[in-house]
Amino acid sequence: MMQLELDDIVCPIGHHFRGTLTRQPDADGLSSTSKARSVRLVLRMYTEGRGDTDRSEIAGLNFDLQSHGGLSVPFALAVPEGSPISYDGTLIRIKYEIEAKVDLKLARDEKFARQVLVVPEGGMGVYDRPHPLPRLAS
Amino acid sequence: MSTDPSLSPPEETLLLEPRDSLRTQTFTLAFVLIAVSLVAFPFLGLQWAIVICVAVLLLFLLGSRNSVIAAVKWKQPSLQVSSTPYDLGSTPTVVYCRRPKRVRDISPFNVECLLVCEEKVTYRQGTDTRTDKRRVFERRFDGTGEGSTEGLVAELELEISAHMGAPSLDLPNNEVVWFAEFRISDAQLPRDEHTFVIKVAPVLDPAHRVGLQDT
Repeated sequence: MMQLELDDIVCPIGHHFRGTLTRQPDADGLSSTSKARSVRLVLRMYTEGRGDTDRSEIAGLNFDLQSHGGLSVPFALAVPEGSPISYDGTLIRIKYEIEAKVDLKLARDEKFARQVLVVPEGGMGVYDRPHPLPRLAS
Repeated sequence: MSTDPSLSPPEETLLLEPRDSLRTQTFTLAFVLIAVSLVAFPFLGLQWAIVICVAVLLLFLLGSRNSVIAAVKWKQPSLQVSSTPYDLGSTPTVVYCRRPKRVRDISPFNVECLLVCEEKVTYRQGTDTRTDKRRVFERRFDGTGEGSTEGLVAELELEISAHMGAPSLDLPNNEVVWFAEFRISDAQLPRDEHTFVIKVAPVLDPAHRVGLQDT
């Protein structure tokens, strides 16, 4: 069982998504025969809408699991300047997700993903949804 | 995008050349004429190939009459913009400039600018690749310009929307493009238009940030 706790699901360009990645040990936590070997954590951008999908890995981290398959580590995934922002347009939607994928020996990899929001620099506290910015009530 | 050293823009600015300039149109015309003559000559003979090429040429001249007349008397226009992309919600000032080929008196003139944000996507349908475009933001700005040693010069304050459109985006199948379409009305200059592509950064202007809104 994997858990991905984020300090905030919103992050401006040029900052980091921070949080903690936790995986419960297999069985009783004493066994050293876990099939789980490592976890890859990825911040991914992808498009939806009328056009063909564009998809890219924005940032990634690798963590080795302990012999019983357990793990609890803090992480920080950078959103580099020049990355697209989350966008809900007419023909195009740009979405972000953080995915944790456990490498399991001789088995289908275990995946867990959470949707996140990348906002323009200076947009923290202004956005609670993808761009465009909602008009402020006058 | 290129610079013209003769105009020597101030530091931290650059001069944009228009997209789809007359030079590009001329190359396209030359390509079309060659293609038409290559196809028409073997099937219809020399005479008909010449007739078709002349017809294509006349259609082109008719369609871009104003641009051709303007290009004879005036150099290509340029737009002086900031060398860094504009923020969402910012109000930048840009300078439109067009020099005559010969010295002439220039009376004040009207300038119209249509600022556009356009989404452009490509997708495959069977074996075809299709393109779809949608304008998601459009705003018109009017101003006046004057004659100077640089020719026609007009300063315009634009307004990049924070509420509509998106920052410039260039992915293989999905694009967001901001551009400004300039039209000049003047007795000495035929009404032709030019498009300049500008860059918008994923940065929110300070005026729209938390605690700084105009209430």
